[in-house]
Amino acid sequence: MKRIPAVVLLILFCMSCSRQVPILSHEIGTVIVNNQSEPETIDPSLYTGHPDATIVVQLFEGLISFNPQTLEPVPGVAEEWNISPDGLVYTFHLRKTARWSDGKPVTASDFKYSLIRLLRPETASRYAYQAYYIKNGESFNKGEIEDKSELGIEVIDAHTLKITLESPTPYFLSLLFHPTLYPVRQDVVEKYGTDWTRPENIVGNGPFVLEKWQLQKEMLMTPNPHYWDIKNVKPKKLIFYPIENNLTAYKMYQADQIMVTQPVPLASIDKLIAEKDPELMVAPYFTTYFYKINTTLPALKNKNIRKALSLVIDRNQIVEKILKAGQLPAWTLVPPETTHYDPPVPEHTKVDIPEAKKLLREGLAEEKLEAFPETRLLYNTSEAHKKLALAVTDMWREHLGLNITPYNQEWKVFLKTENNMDYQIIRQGWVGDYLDPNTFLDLFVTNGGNNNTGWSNADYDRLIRNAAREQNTDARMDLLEKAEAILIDEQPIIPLYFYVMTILKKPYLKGYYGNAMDLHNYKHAYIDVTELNSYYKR
Amino acid sequence: MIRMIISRLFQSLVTLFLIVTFSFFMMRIAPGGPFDSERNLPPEIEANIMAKYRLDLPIMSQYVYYMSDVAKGDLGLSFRYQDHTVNELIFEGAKVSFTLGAFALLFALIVGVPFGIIGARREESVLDHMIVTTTVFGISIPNLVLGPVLVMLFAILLPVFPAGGLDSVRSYFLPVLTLSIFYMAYITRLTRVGFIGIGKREFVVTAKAKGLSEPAIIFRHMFRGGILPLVSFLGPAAAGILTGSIVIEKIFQIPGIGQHFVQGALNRDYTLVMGVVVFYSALIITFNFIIDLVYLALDPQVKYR
Repeated sequence: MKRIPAVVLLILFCMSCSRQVPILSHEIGTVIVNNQSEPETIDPSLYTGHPDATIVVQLFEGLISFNPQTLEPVPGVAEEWNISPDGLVYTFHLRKTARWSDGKPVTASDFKYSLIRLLRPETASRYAYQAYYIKNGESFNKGEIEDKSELGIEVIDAHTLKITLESPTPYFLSLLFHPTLYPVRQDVVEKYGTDWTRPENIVGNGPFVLEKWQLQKEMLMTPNPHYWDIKNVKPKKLIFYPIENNLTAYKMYQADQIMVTQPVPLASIDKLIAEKDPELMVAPYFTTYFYKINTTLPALKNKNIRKALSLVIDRNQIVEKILKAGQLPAWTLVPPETTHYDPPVPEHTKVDIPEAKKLLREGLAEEKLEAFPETRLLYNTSEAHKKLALAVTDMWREHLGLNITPYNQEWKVFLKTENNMDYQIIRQGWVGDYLDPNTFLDLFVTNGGNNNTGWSNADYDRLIRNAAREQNTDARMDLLEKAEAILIDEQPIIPLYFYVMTILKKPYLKGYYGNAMDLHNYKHAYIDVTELNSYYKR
Repeated sequence: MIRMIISRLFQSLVTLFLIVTFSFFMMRIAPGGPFDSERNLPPEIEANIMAKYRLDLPIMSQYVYYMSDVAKGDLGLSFRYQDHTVNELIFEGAKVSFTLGAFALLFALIVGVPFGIIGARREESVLDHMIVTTTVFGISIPNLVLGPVLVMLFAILLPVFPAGGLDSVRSYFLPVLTLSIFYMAYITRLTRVGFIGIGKREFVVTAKAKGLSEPAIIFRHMFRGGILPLVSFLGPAAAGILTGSIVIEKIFQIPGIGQHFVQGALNRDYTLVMGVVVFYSALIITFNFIIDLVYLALDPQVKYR
């Protein structure tokens, strides 16, 4: 009995003698990161989740690629392009050096095949609507037309592709680096069916090739020797772990098993910020947290009442006391990362309790209501949403005397409730699909698929429609700004804050940047060997 | 004996059929479907997806399709992990969970049984009290707490083992330890109770009176009877430990099968959840069956007719 602890200690001691830094057991130059979850699929046309997108970006390349810091469109497979004066026709000139990972050239027909495959109803792609901007894309996907020659996709020659749009879409180039529009190889897809994405079958045209894919364990990639820009692909190997649990990922980061992880667990943020930990990066993220209001209900259909609800919420307190990671208070919907866009200045940007009380009284009088009816605030089950809901309902109670009860539902049930508009007030976090205000503002057009507030405003709809046709950037942004001003004045939503991404990154990993879409092409990442050595000799 | 086996086999199949049918309809009753997300799809795209996965058919024909596939051993394509079949997901996950579970169970038995016997043979001694007290901790500390504490101690403060993942033999250590503590404590208690019970029987007193040595009494006379309570616990315990634990898998980032059960249900991944249900119930039924046979061999009082 007494000998057992001694034996255990001895074993532990021996093992600690042979201890290695796990990261150093890999070849120097290997980049090891957390991808947050097991990808659902790595077929570009079928992908849905963010972890899938990260993998697709490494294995495939679109016509257009993106700057890793600013996300500006840069040449990808297309070396250059012309846009017709009416903004409807894009002619892409593909680089002749672009190759698939088996050495065959990447041609305009590959892109044509991929886009048609994406739009075919039987492919059942969720993001097929990203190609609705292409002429007849929507009708083809809906099965209204079956002749693919009516689509606005034309192969001029092996290296020239002409795409005609439904209407001028000023942000079309930014859409093109959406992984849904990346090319796949017809012969491979047709030969292997759903198995084509396996490491032994897959053929891609991106900077990396998939060597190994162990479910829920890891994905291993190596540089694609046929990639046109291979001399700039820096990692020797690239390893992705699908670690869903933030806490586990954080521990594995501390134990030197991974080089990047995000988001940092809420419980640790405080400490890291207080200590000014040099490994913590806080990057802006193109996402807004807001409450949606069901504007078809007796009291909530009144604009003054909705404004009163918004006016008593102290956003500064929320970001400083509850969230604490550098989030920004939001009184408008579109996050600040969009270039060329100045959000409208709302009537109020701080709490005004007397004004809120007045608005509430007026609103109730207008609706001929004696008292504010019983109301509940719905959030999907999560500690963070709960904290926020409690804080906000507290402010409503304290300042307006309203008893609004928070309650939660499991995610899929929550979605159903939202869709059926069985809620009164509901939380939402919206991640932009592309770096343009339109991705947020077109949510709230009348009967928009994700509107679900019952709110409808003809002026708003018209402004959004006109903006989609406007080619001059400044004029377009003006229209969008006017639209957002209406949205904020009418307040079918209560914006609360703009997200940030909290990232932990080892100092020797270079060429990794936080960007607003959290999109990373790891060809730019590399290991600074000197720093690596000094880091582990501490 | 043969008749007993055949009738048990038949019963098992009926049970399995009922479980699968019941879970099939339970899953469909739960609100929300596998392809709901916060990005609402245009209705036509949704219809395309529904058609691809046969979700547009009436529920009874979906059921018939599903059951005939299962009868052929095909659990279908996962609704979430679209590049993989459910058979593949379960097989890959089960390999890992089996290895981990087998080690944990073995470790728990190697430590638990001897301590249980020691406690029983020295009942009410200081040593016995120490053993009983320790097992209370073992049973009551949840894995959710134990796992992170062990990681903190042995992966970060004293960096001996990896904090997560399954890359090397060394990375099995902490999860196996975490997983086995509860079973170890439980096995110790069951063994102790079994041996105390049997120790009061006349044949043991006689053996002692004959002057037999302690090891001879324990192994030749008491062992078969003493471990009976443990044996009946081992059936469900083995099925439980071998099919993985979501808690351990999340804490240590282990690619096991346990998370499919919980995540699958949350994602409404119908085929995956059903697959795990089929697999899990088949395993429990098999283990219970084996345990019955072992009982038959161990306990002369149990006779099947």
